[in-house]
Amino acid sequence: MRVLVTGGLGFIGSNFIDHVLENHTEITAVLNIDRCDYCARVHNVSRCSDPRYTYVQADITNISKMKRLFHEFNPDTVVHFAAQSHVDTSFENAEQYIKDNIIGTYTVLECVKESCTSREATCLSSCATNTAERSESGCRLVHISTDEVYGEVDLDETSNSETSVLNPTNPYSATKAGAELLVKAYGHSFGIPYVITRGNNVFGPKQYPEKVIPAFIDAMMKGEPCKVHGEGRSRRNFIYVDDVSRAVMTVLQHGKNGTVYNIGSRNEYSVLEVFDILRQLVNSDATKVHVDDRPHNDKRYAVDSSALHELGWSEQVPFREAIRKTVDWYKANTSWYT
Amino acid sequence: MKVLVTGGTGLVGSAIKEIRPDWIYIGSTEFGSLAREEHVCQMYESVGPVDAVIHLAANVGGLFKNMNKRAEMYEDNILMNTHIVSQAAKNKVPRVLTMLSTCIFPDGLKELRPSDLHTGPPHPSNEGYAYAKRVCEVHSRIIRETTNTWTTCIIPTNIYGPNDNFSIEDGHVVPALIHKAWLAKKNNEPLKLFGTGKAKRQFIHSRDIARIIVWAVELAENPPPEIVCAHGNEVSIGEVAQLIADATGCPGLEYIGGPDGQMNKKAIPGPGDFPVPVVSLEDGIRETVEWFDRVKMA
Repeated sequence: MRVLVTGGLGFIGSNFIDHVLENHTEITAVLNIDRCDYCARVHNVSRCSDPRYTYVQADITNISKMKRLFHEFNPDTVVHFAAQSHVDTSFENAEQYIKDNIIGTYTVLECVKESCTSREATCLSSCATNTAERSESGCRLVHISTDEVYGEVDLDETSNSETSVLNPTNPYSATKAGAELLVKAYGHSFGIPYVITRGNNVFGPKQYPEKVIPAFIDAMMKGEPCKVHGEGRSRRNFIYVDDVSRAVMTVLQHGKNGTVYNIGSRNEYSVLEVFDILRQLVNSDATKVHVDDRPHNDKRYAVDSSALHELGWSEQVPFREAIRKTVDWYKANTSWYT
Repeated sequence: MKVLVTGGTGLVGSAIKEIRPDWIYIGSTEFGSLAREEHVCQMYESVGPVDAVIHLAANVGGLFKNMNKRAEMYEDNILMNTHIVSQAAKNKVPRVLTMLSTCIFPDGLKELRPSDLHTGPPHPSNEGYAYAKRVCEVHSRIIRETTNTWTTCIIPTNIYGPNDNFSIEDGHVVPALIHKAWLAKKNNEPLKLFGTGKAKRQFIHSRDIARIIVWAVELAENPPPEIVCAHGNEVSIGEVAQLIADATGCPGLEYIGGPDGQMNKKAIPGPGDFPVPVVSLEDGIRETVEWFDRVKMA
């Protein structure tokens, strides 16, 4: 299997690539396409010496470059992680989110469409034997989305299933919802095989310290106060990145075409609770400061991931253990983002 | 895909072999000197039709060898390159990839791009080697233009890694320093360095070069005639020596004076979208030092 990953130098993408290279020998080649933006690092892929791994620097919105790379690599699976993902900056700079998340997904879709329709295209005789391992059935897209596309869920509301109406409330989640709808439309219009995942708040090693967990760890290690948005009562479900890597792999292998899978956990905590948990592990003297809340801050998200459980996946790493692993990693890698 | 690799047991050849173990790797002694046409013909005949040739074999050396064996460096390399490329064309090999080096560029350039390759004489110290390699570029390009054959020349910066030539006299900077550091550790002395250590170079691990070559040969349908391969970061010789001293465990550095050579020349990677080097210098040096230590101790 030849897997093309977009955004594989970022947090979830790099963890996913390491997971695949470590555990899946059936994957014979991994091409990572990443622009290497501010939150990405070439060495985020720890197993970069694996002979199956290749990294090419490119912006996913550059359609001619992307088409050439797709044509040359000829993937049979594409896992599309690349996205702008920070809600805070999306309020100020929605244009960048529209460009990377919507135009970027459109570009990936055009490339997938082209490789699906040109499977029979000529290959130079010199690479004839190489085509033997290439799939004849077309290229399948695993599109990585977020639970934020559902919009906020009140405390007394039930969890969203995959068929719930999308109701995004900020520019980030709106562009992710738009990207998903494009994926579905390309699936319907052009018969592109796709699956979509919608995940909870992911955390773990290599996450850029702009997101709440690494930001708190970072501040606590530096002895600075942790910045809490508003009162800090927003609740989120947190899931460890290794569980997400396995979930994406499960969907890649067993997911039904044209289907959406929620990736959810039961670890629901408020921001204040997260602060308290981290303080016990990192620095008992840590302080917090309440800063202006987001223009809008969803109170809570909740997803029902029974469809994914039916494919054989379950959350493996208990929250406390996952948090401890994450803290240990940041303590051991203080120079990672400098 | 059936691919013939000359220089198959060297630094880059062995790194390619890790990725594509089933290709055909020719060592330096298998058919005798490839500077002789009959040996090259014999090699192609014995291997049979191939989809591509990766020509890595070269008579290489450090400053001392280049200065003292100028005729040999020129003759061996120009003959070897000419026979291998011309016999590849005669045998209608569909893809021909050859290796150049950033050390063959005109002396004194601050930035290195393929278009500058022939714009001035090379540094006199490696004149023979440089002209032989430059002519290989001309040859490869002419074959490409006249016979419509897929050809490309890879132009790497300083390559390092396991299976290199670690001779202190003849080796390139990283392997020679590793050997010196290994001896320094044994004698509990600092690693002695010429110059000030401030000259900057770009280093690329053999595995990263191998990945680019495999990508080009297998996947690139219309590569540019020359591809510069470089790790973006310029690193000072002093920093490299420090990494080597740390990895070896020898007690620090000592500068013993002398010239630095050219202070810096920056190779600009490209053109085209090829795999980006991913092995960090720190990891690469550590791995290479461990490899050398194992071989020395064996």
